[in-house]
Amino acid sequence: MADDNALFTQTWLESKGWQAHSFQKEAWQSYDKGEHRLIHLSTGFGKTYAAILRALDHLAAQKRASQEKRPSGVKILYLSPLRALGNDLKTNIELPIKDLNLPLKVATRTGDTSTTERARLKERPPDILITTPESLNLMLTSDRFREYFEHLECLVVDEWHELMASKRGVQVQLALQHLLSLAPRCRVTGLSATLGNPHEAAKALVGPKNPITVISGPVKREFDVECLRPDSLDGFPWAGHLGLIMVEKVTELMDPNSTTLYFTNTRSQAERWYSELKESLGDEAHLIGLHHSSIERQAREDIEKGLKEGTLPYVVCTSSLDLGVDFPKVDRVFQIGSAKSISRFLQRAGRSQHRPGGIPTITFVPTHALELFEFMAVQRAIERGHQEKIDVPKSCFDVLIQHIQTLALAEGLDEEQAYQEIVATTTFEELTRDQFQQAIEFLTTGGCLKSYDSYQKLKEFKGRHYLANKEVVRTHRLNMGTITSDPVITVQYVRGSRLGTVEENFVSKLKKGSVFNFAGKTLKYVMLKDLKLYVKKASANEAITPVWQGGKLPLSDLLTFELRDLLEDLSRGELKHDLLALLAPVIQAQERLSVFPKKDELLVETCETREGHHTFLYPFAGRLVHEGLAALMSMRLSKKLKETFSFSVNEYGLEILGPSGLVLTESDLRQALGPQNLLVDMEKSLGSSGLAKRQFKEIAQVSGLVPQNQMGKRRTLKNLQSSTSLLFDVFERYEAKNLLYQQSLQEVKVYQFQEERMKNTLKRLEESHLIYRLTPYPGPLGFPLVIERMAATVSGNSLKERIEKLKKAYQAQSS
Amino acid sequence: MEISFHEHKLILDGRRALFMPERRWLLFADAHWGKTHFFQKHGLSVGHGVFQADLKRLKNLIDDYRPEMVLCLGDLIHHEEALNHKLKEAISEFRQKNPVPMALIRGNHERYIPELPLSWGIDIIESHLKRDGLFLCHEKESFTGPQIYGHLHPKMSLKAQGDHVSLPCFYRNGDDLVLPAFSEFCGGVNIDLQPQKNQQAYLCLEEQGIDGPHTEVICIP
Repeated sequence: MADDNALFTQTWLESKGWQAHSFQKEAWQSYDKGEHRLIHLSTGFGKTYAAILRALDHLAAQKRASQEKRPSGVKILYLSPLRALGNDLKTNIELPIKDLNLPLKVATRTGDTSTTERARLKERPPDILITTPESLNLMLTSDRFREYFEHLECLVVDEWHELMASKRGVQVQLALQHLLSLAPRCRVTGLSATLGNPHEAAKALVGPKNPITVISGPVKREFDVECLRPDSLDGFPWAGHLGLIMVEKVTELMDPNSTTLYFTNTRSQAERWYSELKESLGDEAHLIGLHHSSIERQAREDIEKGLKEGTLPYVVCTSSLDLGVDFPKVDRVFQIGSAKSISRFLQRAGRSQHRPGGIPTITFVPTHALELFEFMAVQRAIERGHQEKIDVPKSCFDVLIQHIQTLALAEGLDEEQAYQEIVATTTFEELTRDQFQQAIEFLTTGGCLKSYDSYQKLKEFKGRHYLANKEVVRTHRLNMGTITSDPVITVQYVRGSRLGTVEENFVSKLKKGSVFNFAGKTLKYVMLKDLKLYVKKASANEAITPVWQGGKLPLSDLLTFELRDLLEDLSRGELKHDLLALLAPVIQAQERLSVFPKKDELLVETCETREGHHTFLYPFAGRLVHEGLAALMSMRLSKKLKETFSFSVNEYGLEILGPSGLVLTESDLRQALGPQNLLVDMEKSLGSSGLAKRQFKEIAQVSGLVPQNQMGKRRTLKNLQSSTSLLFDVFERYEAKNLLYQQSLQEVKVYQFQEERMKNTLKRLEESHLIYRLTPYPGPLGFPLVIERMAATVSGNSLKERIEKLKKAYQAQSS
Repeated sequence: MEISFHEHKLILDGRRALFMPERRWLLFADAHWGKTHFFQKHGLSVGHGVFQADLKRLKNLIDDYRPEMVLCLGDLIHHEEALNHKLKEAISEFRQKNPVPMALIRGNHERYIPELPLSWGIDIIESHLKRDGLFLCHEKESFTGPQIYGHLHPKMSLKAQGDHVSLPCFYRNGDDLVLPAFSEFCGGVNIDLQPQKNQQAYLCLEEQGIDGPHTEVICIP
């Protein structure tokens, strides 16, 4: 143990002219006491140094004392969710090491590290290793992982707030317990942005049984939050998400002397905004950059470099820049469209004025009229200091079976020890021994014996479990990780450089000669070969922009609450805000047709159009809950009325579309929302609406049921492909007990359907006063739902009846 | 459903098979036997339930039509590695119980399979058959004359008023007739039907009734 005199690093920090913050001192003291801790604070306050400076002191003192030359494994392990971050972290960590001439080596190992470098690192472990959760898991399968990590003293998990809600976070929890049982002396440090529930986040990191100290950094910061206003709402859209109508307003504010980030919600929105803003720059088009996760790494790094050095004043980006190194030069942030959560809004705001003392400035750019209400709600929540809680996933069977294979690969899995490690995590806290045994069984025999005679992934040998054969080993290594994606196609120039990736789905809509926008360029399809799309530069006015799947974030629970609160005040005439004058036309239009609901009211609007009879409900409970509600209601209504219904949802409400003239009465709706048989009906609606099928895709990939990667085995791979949707149908029909299928139903219930949120919403609606309005046409609240693409269909007709109807429609169309 | 195809009577069965009443031949294509065995061998946990259901459907067809011959138009076996002893046993047993003459026209999935297990009693025909002016083959060839083949796994999807259904189908394309994939564990290619070019789709519809599955064929347009 280092004594108090050995505070080299704090002295060093002060010698740099940086005052050590009180939370940093607190963190160092806690490290001395040997505690686990979670440090949470707004970004930009040197949390990396809070996490590791004391560890460096201890380590340097030890090294000096021992005189030993041979490296004895990794001492500090720094996990970051972003591999691009590795080099910046390395520079930061090496700064005190170089200045103080400490005898410590730092290295990074990520998916991008070369094979030779990896081999070198394997032979000579650095003292400090920076890596990603995926690379760590890969290292856990190595035959030398024990000697590599058994002397680990300090484990840092960066950006825990981002990881903890995801399956990547579950993977980190499992790896962390494995490391702790290997190196019991190791102290864990979690780093996180500010959270609504820091104590739960801390528990989630080290598991329910380990004590952990929560250290809060300076949290309250001032924010300059403003809204870019359209001149009037005449001609401002009631729906949509691109917001290109605001381009002119945004360009008026462009200033090459201050650095600006433009956050968008989707990659395709980023592409569109980039090309519009670039065009407005004319000769100075080189001053703007585009950054999103499908763009080639090199190009992204160039943009990040430009931001850091201040040579690139404008960057359009997606959540790809939510995390990561600070860019002190950023002066201003624009959020285009809803940020969907208060935390994310604040986090993005925090990207500006990143130097201590600077006031973050964020300008919200609405993409449709209703987002102005959302903005007001966000603003009020910030004033009130409200922030979202983050929940940890529970019992992810797919991640579990991946982890079991990882353990089996390294030195064979010992059931008792593995079980103890796994139940020490928060996610698997309630996993019973039986369930664990089931998972092992699942890998050994497929679970249900008769139907699985050719299947075996695990083999038992002298009381330990090993992977069954070389092929299983290789497939497992290649497919580890929990980040799933649709098959991607690399886009590259006919001669030369790669531009990034698009989804197969998008490419299938293109033909030779098609022109499309990608990576901020207009490109022409030349040839598709071996999963590569070769392109040439093109110039065209009519180019299409790729749409990537996923990434559609739902409105947070807290924000839906704030929104309902705001509408209550609005309908009572108690809302004061200077945006109200601007919103007057929309408010009047809604009030002319119908009303704004109070908190204890459920507004229902119905109208008849050529498409059929529309029924709109506005629970203001967020897209996911609405999806669940709509599926449930459609299922019940279709059963009762023997008709086919389709539904669509958005953040504010849901629409049920039925045949013309079929008016849903108040009692129909009350029944469809009622508590009778709720659980059974919810389960049924999962299947009938196809929602479970979507969730199954991810599970099938994580658990290895649909291998994503099988290098060098092209024909075999082809013969192993099956669409996840086909697999789902097969399981549904012939193997309903399959554990992965069961998990997908479970996950949809919890995450997609948000069972708890949905039950709460149903309870709220049950107690609400139902306001029923017949309108001549869809109003400002209903219209966005009409143009939303239909989410799903639920039918009470037999398949034959449906086909007869569809056939008639087909005949009518083609004649 | 009975159709007339180049002056021959053909019966399209919603169980994804075709019966030629004049010769009493039962035709099907793309059964992909052993696909679940192959998946399991490679560590993918898909049970044999779907395979057993496919076999049962074939047995019911044989019982109902009492054919003089059963002919598979290629891709009977998913992959040569799928031919393990479990599959061999299962099929031998099936053949013992259903000893009707059976043959296979070699499909692309059988290109590395020199011959089938003797106990199955299934002959392999290397390229095609020509009977009564009809070419029977695995995929479209350059013959002049009407062809019946498989390989494509045709499906058709219908959309209107928010409803959407996609089903395997027989696909009549001018002079040719394409069979749906027999196995349920097969994806498909959606056809873009052009009725003005003498194309029709015959959808294979299957619904659970009180007394078991009920199948039907529906012609589009």
